[in-house]
Amino acid sequence: MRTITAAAFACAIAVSLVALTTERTLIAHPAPCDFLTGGGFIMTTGGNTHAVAKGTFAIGGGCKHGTPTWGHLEYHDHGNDLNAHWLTITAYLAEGDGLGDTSFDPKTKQPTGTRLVCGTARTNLYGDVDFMVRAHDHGEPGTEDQFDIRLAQSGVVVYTTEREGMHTLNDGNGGGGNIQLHKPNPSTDGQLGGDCPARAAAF
Amino acid sequence: MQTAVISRWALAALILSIPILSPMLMHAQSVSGSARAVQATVVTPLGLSTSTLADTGTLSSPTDARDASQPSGAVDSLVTAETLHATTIGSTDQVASEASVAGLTVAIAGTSVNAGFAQARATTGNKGVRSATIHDLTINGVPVDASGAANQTIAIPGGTIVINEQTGNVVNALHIIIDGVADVVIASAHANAQ
Repeated sequence: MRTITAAAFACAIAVSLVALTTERTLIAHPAPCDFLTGGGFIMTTGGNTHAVAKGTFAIGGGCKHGTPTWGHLEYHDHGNDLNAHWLTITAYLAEGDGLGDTSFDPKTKQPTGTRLVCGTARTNLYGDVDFMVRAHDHGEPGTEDQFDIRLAQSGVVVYTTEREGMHTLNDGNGGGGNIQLHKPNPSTDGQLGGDCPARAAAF
Repeated sequence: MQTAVISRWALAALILSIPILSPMLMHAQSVSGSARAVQATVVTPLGLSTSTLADTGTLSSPTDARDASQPSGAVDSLVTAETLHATTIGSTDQVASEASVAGLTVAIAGTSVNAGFAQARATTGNKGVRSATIHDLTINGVPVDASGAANQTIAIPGGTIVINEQTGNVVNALHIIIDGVADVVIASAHANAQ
């Protein structure tokens, strides 16, 4: 009886300790990864290569089941008819490799901030490329959200919208759409990270 | 005696576990979500025929996140669009779904609908969002102001167009109905957590 009693007591203590430790861990280290989704259009010259034209986009990025390789990219520059269609997602990063710019939209209870989504894409003008998308969620209604894209090949940038400055989705007056940063879900137990060759590419 | 002791400790363990288990129980919600960029149903001599573009399918669990995208797409000569995408992301207490298209052209029975961009978003929760964003909408070449109000309805020959249609847990950016001919939904987002 003494053995059973001791075992039961030890079990209860162990359960309590595990619970306390888990709670402390969650508070000290909130889930570091999340998701970003969005669609819209920017007005771009494709890095001063053509007259101002629409660049339509759809973007997704995030960690699913611990891996920062969830997402997609579709992009169409109507000025030079460039189409980019994602092949792989290789990285999902916070700008600056930290979470420093992540904030909180009290209206939606969702986070705000900037993420980089990287991968490879097939294009109709350059063949297969590395890409990096910079997407910023400024909160609702999305008019101050931002989208920019860079395509690189063999370590050299072949196309970018960044030379014109950050492109804002200001409600049809130069852009439109909405980008949303989503709070982590139970599958985002991994870290932001991955490989982003386009980020280090030379201009 | 032995049984009584075990029972007392079992009860104590259970009481100790209540604070631990209660948050889990409180968050054990049922979630569902899906999104698609285009769904077109047309009446054919053989019955109804439905086609979809950039369709996520349905969430399998709160840990699921699903997406679909394509650079361009068409349903026969009825619908064409570019940069189509759809996403649905689950969570323990929330679902966020979204779909969008750009460069949209719909042509049905003499009616044409164009939009530079259309997006629907639906999220659950007490700060849940149900909204549609539409730019440069025209119907038969005439610009239409998408007011932002839910269920803005416009009559067209033989049918209706509903802008920012909100029914239950679903938001459709555009719903074009030509009675007896076709039913086309552009950018549809569904999110539900119970």
